[in-house]
Amino acid sequence: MASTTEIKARVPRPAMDLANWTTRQWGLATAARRGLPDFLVIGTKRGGTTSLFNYLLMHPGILGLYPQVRGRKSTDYFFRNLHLGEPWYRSHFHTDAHLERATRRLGYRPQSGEASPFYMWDERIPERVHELAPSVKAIALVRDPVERAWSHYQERVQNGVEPLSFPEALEAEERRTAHELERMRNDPDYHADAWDWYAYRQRGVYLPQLETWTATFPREQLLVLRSEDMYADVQSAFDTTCEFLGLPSVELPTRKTFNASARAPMPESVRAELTDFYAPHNARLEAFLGRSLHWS
Amino acid sequence: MIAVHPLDHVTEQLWAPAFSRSGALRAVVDPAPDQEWRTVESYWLVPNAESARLLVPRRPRTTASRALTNYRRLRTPGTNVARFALGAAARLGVPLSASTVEVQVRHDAPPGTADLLPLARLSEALGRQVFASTGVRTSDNRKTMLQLVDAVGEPVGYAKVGWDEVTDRLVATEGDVLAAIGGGDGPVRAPRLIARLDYLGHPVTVTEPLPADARGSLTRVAEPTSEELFALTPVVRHARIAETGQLRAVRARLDEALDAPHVRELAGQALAVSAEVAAHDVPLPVTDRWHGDLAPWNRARDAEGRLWIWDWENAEPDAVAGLDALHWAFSTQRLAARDVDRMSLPDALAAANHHLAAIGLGEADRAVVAAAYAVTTVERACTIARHSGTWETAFISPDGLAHLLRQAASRQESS
Repeated sequence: MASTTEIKARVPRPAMDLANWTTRQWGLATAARRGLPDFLVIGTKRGGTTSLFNYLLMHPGILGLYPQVRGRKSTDYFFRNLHLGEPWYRSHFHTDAHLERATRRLGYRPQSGEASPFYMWDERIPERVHELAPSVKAIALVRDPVERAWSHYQERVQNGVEPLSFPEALEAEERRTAHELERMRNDPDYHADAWDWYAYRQRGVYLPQLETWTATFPREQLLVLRSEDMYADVQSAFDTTCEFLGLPSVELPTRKTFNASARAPMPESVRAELTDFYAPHNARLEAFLGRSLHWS
Repeated sequence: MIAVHPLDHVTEQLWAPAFSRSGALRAVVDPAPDQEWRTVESYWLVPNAESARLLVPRRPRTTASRALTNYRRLRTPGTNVARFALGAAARLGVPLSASTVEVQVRHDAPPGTADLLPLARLSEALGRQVFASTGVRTSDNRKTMLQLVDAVGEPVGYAKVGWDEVTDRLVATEGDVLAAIGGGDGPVRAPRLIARLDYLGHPVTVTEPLPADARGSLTRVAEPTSEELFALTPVVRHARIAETGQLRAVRARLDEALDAPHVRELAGQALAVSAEVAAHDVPLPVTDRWHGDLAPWNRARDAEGRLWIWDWENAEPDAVAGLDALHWAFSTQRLAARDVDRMSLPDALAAANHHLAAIGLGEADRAVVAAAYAVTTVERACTIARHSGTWETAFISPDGLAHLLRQAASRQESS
């Protein structure tokens, strides 16, 4: 039997565009009756964000973004689509009536959310989220930053935007991303691809990113998971997340990894340099989390 | 200005060396039957003799037809409609034009005289008889590019023929660069070199045909990614821009251009901006060469998504990284520009910014590279105008070039 993705691939592009436009218009027309996210999976990039979100969608009490058939993971609202306005954002969530029906069927209120690794990386986002949905719960996955940087680099190569070798890219990182943070601070609408694409090293310094969330939200509204724990035991990480969200846990039908990329070995000299670089940052993160992360 | 007959351009660029070597060769439009002369090549002049834009081989019919319809995915739908109509007519033996041009050899010519002709030399070099169609080129740096087909019209390749000092250098450069690249084996390809020959003192470069499934529409083919942009022109070192061979050569040619009164002022302005560029003392990434004319009209993608890049005749070695990205942005802007004399360097820089960041250039460096690109563009136009003695054939006027330099200077100051 064909999957939703396969069926969508067979639908002509204009028909897809029309369907998307129509559902979005309907969503906008009914935006006043639609809710906001209960949770956000905020990162980290190449840390299992996509996998965790897909596992959550397997839960009967988790609703995907409207319309669910599109299978979207994120709206990119808080960094790219802010100008489209709150009604547009609400149009991605389900109506109160839909939630009530689901509540009656499930015996508890279902939850909605989205996932974007940029939500942890863009320091402007927590305040924006708080303004709109102060009770939202955030879930962050943190992965050994050395492995994360390498995986991030390989993904950029696969996307055709990385002409440099890994050592060259690390060396060029500051030049590539200089002034972008300043611009983001000065211009609420500014989004820099370079800030997303090329911050291989800085994006693995997790504590300041998590602190932007704890500076805005109560600490108990943030769950920090270790990516390696999820890779080793998907069900356990899923159960922890369900408990955090106040949902009953269920047995996952699959534990496959999503959005994984082929791995090539990292140059050893780079690994050693990155390991040294991250050591003090990881130590501070461990102190913040109150547990050892067992990273390289 | 006296109008030049289209055929004079073709003769000048293609047959003149052979004709000057032997008085027993000639090209004649619609010749009357003459027992003294034997036709060895024959072409339709499309659409007519007075405004010919295309020379199509008359025989065999299949060859004529295929010469018109090969590489259809590289052309616009509108052009293809006309090409297919002409191709069908050629296949049926319907005349494509009221006029032909016949390349003839006199009956009393010594044996081998016809072998002086470029097509005969190409056939010999490629080991089989080839036929050629060609457009009539009248622009700056005009040179003949022959689309070669075999006896049944299958594409054999492209041949570029030099005819004067400038075009000889361009054709030779392309041959050297394509030999060095060797076609490429990754996601980006350059046509492989299949022959290089000497045509009575002028270089000829023959490259393989582009894949039949290559699409080259100006708007519907995905733009090069940063990875693709630098795949055939990788960074090989870091150096101050003043120490790059490309900028040094540009500045040397600008110095020479000061001798020509009609380009002196502009060359002087470009030298002043180049001095500011050269003062930038931060080491920048330097590529082993830049393509020199990477524009939407010089690329295509095949069915597997591989990017094909051709026309490497303006390549220069040892160039600061980013010039091709800026040229791509500038050329894309040029396609839509209402007034080429008022094109925006800041807009080109903004469009190329992600490529420049990708190759590791900092913000201030990017403004410097944009200024270097402006200087290079002005120098190229000055050099052509110096050789041709006029600005009349330039795609952008001296005023437009001065505007470009002013934008470059102000970018430098504000960076």
